[in-house]
Amino acid sequence: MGIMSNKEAILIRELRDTTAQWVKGDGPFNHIVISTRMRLARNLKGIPFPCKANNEQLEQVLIQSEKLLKNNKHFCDFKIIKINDLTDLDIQFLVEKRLISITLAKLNYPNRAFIYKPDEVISIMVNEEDHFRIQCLLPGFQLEKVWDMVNWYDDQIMNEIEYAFNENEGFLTSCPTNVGTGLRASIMLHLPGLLALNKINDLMANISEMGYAVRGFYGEGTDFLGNLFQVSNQITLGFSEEEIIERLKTIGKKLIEEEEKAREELMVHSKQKIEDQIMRAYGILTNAKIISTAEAIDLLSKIRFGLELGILTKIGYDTINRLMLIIQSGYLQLLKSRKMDENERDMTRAKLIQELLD
Amino acid sequence: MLCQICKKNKATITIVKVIELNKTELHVCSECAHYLLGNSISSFSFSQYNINEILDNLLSAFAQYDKVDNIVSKKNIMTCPKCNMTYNEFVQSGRLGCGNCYEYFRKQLNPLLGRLHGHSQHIGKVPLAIKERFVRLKRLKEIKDELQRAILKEEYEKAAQLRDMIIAEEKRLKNGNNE
Repeated sequence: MGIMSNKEAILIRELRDTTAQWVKGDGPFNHIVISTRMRLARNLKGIPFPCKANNEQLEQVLIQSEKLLKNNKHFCDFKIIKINDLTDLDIQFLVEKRLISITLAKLNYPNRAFIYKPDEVISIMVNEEDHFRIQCLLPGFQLEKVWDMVNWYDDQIMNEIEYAFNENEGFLTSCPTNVGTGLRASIMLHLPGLLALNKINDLMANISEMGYAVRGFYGEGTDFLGNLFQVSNQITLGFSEEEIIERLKTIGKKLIEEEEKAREELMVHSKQKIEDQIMRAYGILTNAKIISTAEAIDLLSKIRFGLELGILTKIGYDTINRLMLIIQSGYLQLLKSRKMDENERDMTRAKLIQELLD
Repeated sequence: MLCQICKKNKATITIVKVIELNKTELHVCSECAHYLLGNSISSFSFSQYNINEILDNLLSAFAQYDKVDNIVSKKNIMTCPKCNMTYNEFVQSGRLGCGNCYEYFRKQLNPLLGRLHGHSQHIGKVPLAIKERFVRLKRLKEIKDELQRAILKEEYEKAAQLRDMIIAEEKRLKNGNNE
């Protein structure tokens, strides 16, 4: 990692303290759907994809994106962070804040960059697996709005830059799993009711039959920590963007409906038990002195459930969403501006949670 | 051992199919393997098996295929002339090197795209600049298909009309390219 330039340091500090639009948590169906996200994979015509591009060609991609920011009025308030100028901790923080992908963090290409609007709704990863990954992220369940936005920005870029595209395979991407529309649309849902009643497996089987995938939020191997589920399309070729989105909408609606039913059932048959769990979680989070990430995520999910059911009223979705992010080890260390061992992190985490919940 | 399919050539490839706990092995020659990998796997129903499972089977089959193929002939390594990506490299990394790879490896990629997406033809957003040309090419293909049908039905008058339409359309496309 290079030595962090002053400019990058300032931008990272800003991002550390600002609240992304989606974190405010005020979108439609926010009692179940946390956020809606879409990304478009795009490559520049005539330049090999990052895995086969040399340094000069990757620099060309970066220069093109910098030109876009400079010359196009729709991008004038966007900022750019050069990934190669960041420390490992800064990069980890960007991943944890849901701003960049693990792929962008891990690939060792030179000239990687992250371009974003300060509200963090629209951003572009440069020289990831593809030259551009244009992303849009909003709170709640609002597929059409997210599509309109990401599509509009994609059009603006296309006015300036020619993409790799052909009539057969559509927008050409490095991995054939993204080719065609290059669109990955996803929704993140909080489904404690379905999980408590053990009803999630059948629904998940249906979803994968439709060509959509279900993942946890905190990455591979974390199962469904925090009762969080991400549903996204797997098929990108042979269906229009509208069809892909419409299907995801159907899946989302079905999951919302089923989760609502599950919650009703739980409130009829085990109201006391649920209330007890929620209040206990609140008790631990507001009093514990040492807490691990996994425990915090689990208890925060219970508190979120309390908000969603109207049992807890003094806390907002924005607080829970912010907590969900800052309890992660990279974010935590960045907030305190120093490296910490696990023990110190667990203590700092407990303290931070109390400050925000009080 | 002789190929279990054609029973003519020597079997050089073993295709292992693992679905849940059932493992089946098939010993085939490289020609039949090509046919199998291109066709039979795409008939798997998506509702019965998940995509990852199919992909895993496929990759293991491809890996087997490539190992043997490498030994048999090192001469036939296809290399994209634009980015120097070899097909073997793609099989190993799962990533293509440039936009041209899609054209250069189309024959090999099409069955794979079919298995991944169920389709190999893009429907959806088209950059404005390309849209017009795209529509024309599609129309041209339709007329050509119609011509084939007309010839088979021995409707020669109609065929002649369609042929003229194709010539005119191709001319327009060519002019469009030069602009």
